[in-house]
Amino acid sequence: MIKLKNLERNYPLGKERFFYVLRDVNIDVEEGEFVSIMGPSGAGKSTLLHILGMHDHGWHGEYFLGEAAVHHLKPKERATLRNEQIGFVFQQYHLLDDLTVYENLDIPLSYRRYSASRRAALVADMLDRFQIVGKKDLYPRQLSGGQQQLVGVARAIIAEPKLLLADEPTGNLHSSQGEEIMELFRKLNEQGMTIVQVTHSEKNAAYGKRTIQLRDGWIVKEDR
Amino acid sequence: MNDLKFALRQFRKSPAFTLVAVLTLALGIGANTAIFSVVYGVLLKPLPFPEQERLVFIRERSEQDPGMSVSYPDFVDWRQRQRSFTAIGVAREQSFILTGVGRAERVSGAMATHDLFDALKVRPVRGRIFTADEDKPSVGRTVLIRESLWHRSFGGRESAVGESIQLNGHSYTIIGVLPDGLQLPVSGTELWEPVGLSADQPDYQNRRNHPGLSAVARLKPGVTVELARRDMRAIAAQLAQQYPDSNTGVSITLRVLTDMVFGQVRPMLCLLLGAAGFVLLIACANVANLQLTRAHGRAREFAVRAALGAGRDRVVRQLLVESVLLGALGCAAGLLLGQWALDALRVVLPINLPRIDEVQLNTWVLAFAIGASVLTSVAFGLVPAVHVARQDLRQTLTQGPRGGQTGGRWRSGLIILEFALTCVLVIGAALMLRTLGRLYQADPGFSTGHAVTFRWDLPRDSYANSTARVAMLDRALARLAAVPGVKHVAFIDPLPLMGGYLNSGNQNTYYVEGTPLPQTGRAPSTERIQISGDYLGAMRIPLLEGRTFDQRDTEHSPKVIIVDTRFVEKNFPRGENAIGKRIAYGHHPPEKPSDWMEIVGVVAHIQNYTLGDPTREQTYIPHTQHQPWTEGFVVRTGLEPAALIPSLRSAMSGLTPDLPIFDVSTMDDVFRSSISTQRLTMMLLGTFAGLALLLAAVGLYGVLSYSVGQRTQELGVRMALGAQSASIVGLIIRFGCKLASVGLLIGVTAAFALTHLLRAVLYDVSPLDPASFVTVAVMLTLIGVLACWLPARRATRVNPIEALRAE
Repeated sequence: MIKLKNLERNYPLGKERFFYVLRDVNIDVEEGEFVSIMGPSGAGKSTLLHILGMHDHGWHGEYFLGEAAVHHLKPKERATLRNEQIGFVFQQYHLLDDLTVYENLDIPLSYRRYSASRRAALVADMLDRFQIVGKKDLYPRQLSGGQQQLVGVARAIIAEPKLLLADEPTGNLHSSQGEEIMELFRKLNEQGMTIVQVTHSEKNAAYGKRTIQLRDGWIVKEDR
Repeated sequence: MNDLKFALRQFRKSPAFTLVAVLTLALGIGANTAIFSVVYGVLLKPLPFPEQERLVFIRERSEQDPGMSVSYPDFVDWRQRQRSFTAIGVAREQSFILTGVGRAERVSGAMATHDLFDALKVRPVRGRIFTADEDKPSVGRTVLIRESLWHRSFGGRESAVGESIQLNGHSYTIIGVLPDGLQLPVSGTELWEPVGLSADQPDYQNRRNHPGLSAVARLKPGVTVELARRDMRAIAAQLAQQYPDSNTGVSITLRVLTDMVFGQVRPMLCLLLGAAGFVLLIACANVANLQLTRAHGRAREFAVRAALGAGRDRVVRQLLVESVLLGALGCAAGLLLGQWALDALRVVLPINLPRIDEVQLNTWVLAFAIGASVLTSVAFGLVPAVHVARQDLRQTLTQGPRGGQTGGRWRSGLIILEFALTCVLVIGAALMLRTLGRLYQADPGFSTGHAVTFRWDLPRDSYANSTARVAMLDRALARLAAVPGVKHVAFIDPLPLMGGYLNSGNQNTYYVEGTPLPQTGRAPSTERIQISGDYLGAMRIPLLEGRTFDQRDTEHSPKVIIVDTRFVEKNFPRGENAIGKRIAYGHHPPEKPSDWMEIVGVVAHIQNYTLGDPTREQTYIPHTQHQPWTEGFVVRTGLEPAALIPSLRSAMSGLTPDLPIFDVSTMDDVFRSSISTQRLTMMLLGTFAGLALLLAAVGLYGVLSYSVGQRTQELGVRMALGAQSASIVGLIIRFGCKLASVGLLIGVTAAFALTHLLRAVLYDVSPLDPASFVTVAVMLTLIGVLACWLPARRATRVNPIEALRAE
C-alpha cells in the first residue's frame, strides 16, 4: 500500500548547509498491515508520519500510496488523495473546542462531497459504533482524555479511509485509557484497515505486526 | 457545519472581541454613512430635470465685473439669435409679501420667463405654466406656487389653482403648482411670477442695466457646451458692435448648470468624504489586526481542519463568512450611529448648502453602507485568511502556532498604515483649526458684537416714489431708535458679509472729475452702498476724514458721497485731499450737473463680503438722495442682542403690520454663518481626526500587548540575564515608537501632497504651515508613547522563573 524510496527531509541552515531529519528512508507497508514506528526523541518519527499523511511537502524521494505516485502530485492533488485514503489520529486529540462531539465527527464529511443525509447517517453510525451517542451534544472540554481520543479516532475513520495514521495516540492518556484505544486499533486492523502508528511504548508496539526503528533520521532496524 | 452558525458561536464566545470589532466598524461606517448622506443629497441625487447634463447656466461678464447678471434686452436678443438651445429662459430672486391667506408672510420667490420652464422641462403637479402671452407687461398677473406653499397656506386643496392672492399689494391668479424639487433660482423659492410683467420698467428696458437675471438653457441634441459657448460669445460680440455704449467689453460665461449649483461645495464635500474614508480604512486596519490576533490563536483549529480535509479555499471561505457577519453587525450599528450623526450634522450644515433639506438616509445611502461593509469585511477578512493559509501545517499540528514573521509583519504594517492615515487627518484638522482662529481674529473693519441685522422689503408698487420710500424708512429708523436698549440704528443696502465678490449686484462704474475718460468697457467699478446717517456709528466704522451724512443731505441738496481708503489710494495717490472732489456713477461726466457727488468723508475700507473674498473700493451714498430698493437695517445695542429681537419685531410690526421683517439675526451670527463652511470643515475634520487618533492608539496598544504576550519567554530570559525594568520598558516602547515613527513619516509626506486640497477653505494659513505639521508630529509621537506605556509596564511584570519553566 505504501512504498517509500530514498525519502529524505532536511531543513536549510545556511549557505549549502542542511539539517537532515530523515535520510534515505525506504519502507514498504502492505495493505492490512499494522506497523509501529519507534525511536528516541528527535529520530524523525513524527516527521515521517506527517509525510505519510501528506501534511508535509518539503521532502525528496519517492512516495507511492497505492497506485498513486505522490511525489509527482501537486499539493492540491495530494490533499484530494489524502481525503480519500487517509485518516489521522493526533497525540493531542486536536478536537475542535467550539464544536460538539457530533459536529467534530461531521467536520471531515463536510469537507468531502457527501450529501447531508449520508453525513447524518455516517455520524449516527459512528456514534453508535463507539457507544458515545449520549455524548453527541457535549463539547470536548466536557469529556475525559480517553473519551476525547475516542472521538478523535472516530473522526479519523468516519470517512472510511484505507490507511490510518496515529501519532502517539495514547501519549496523553492513562494506561487503561490507552489500552482501550489500542484494542480499538487492533479491531480496526482485524477489519482490514492498514495502520501505521508512532509510539514510544513497547507495549503499544506489540499490538502491531511490524516495528521500524528510527535513529537520527535513519532506519536502523525492522522487526517483524 | 454551518459556517454562519459557527461564526455566531465564535462571536458569543468572545464578547469583548466582538464588541470592540463591531464598535470600531460602526464608527467607521457611521461616519461614512452620515457624510455620504450629505454628499448624495447635495451632489449626487439627480436634479428634478430630465437630462440635467444638457442644462447650462449663463451670465454676462466684463473686465470689471466677472459675475454680471444678464441685461433683459440682451436676453431678448439672445433668445432670438441663438442656435444652440431648444429653450432659454431667465430668472431672478424676488421676495413677496403674501397677504389675504392667513397672517401676512414674506415668501421667497422669483421672477421667471415662461421659457425657463421649457428649458428645465418642469411639469406642474397641478394646473399649468405661464404662456408667452402672460409673460408680458400690462396683462393679468399670474403666479406659480410650490407644493410646500400649496400645502402650508392652501391646505393642498385643488381649488387653490384659479384662486386670487395678494402679493406686494397686487392681485395675482394662481395658475399652477410646481413640484417641491424645483429649487431655482435659489433654494427655498416658493413663488414665480413672469419676468414680462416688469418688462416695461426702466431697469428692464435699459440695456446698460443688469437687474439680477441669470439664464438657464437646454442644449439642442448634438450641441456641445463648447459649441454653445462659442455661439453665445459670437452673439455677445454682435451686440457689442450694435450697442457699443452699453455692450463694449461685455461677454458671457456659460457653465453646465450642475457645476454652477454644486461647484462651490463639491470640493469641500468630497474632501470630507475622503476624510471619512480614511477613518473607515483605519477602522478596517484595527479590525484586521484583531482578526489576525484571533487567527493566530486559532491556528491549531485551522491546521486540524486542513488535516481533516479542508482545502485552502474552504478555510478562507469560513474566515470570510465570519468577517462578513462581523461587517454586517458593524453595518447595522453603523447605520444607527450614522443616523444620529446625521441628525447632529443637520444642525451645523451651512444654511446655504444646496438641497440641504434633501439630506437624509435613503436607499442609496443604505446601499452605500452595505457596500462599504462588504468591502471592509473582505479587506479585513482576507488579511488573516491569507496569513492562516500560509501556516506550516505540520509545525502547527505538532508544536503549536508560532508568531511567525509573516503575522508580525502584517500587524506592524497595519499599525504603520493607521498612523500614516491618522497623521494626514490630524494635520488637516490642525490647519482648519488655525484657519478658524485666524477667521475669528480677523478684523473685518467693523464691529459685529452687540448688533442685530434684519431686512425689510417695501413693495415697489406701493412705494414707487422716492420721497414716499425715504419717508417710510425714516419713520422706521425713528421707531427703532426709540426701542429701549438701542444705541444706534441705521439703514444699509446691501448688508455686509452677505453675497460675494462675483455676485453682489451692487457695483457701479464711476468717473472722477478732471481725470481722463476711460476706454469704453474699462471704466473702474466700485461698491455702491446706500446708508442712513448713523451707519458709521452703528457699525463702528472709523471716520478718518470729513463728515458723515446728516440733515443737510436731502433730496434737494447737492449730492454727496463718502469714499473708503482704497478709493482714495487708487484715485488720489499723491496724498491729495479727497474731500471736496467730485465723482459720478457711470463711465463719463454725468449729463445732469446735479448728478455730480461731492466727497464729504473718508472711512476705513471694510471686508463687506465673506472673509477671504476679494473686495472693491467702497463708496457710500445717503438713502435720502438715491432710490433705495432693498432695505437692510443694523441696530446696535448695549444689551444682549438676541434679547432685543422681539422688541424690534414689535416696533416694525406696529409700523406696517403687513410688511414683516425677515432674515433677523445678530451680527455675530451673520459672521458665523459667513464662515460656516470653514467651521463645518474644521468640526468634521476634527471629529474624524479624534476618532482616528483613538483607533490608532488602541490599535498600537493592542499590537504591543500581543507582542508582549508573544515575547514572554524572551523577556524572561533577558530579566534572568540581568535586564532591569527600565531596559524592558525601553525595549517595548522603542518597538512601538518605531512603528509609530514610520507611520508618522509616511503620513507627513502624504500630508505634504494632500493638504493643498484644503486651499479653498484655508484662511491666512498655508497648506504647508510648519507650526501645524510640527505640532501634530509631536502630539502623535506622545500619543504613540502613551499607547506603548501600559504594555511596556506589563512586560516588566513577567516572572522570569515561570517564563523559563514554560519553555
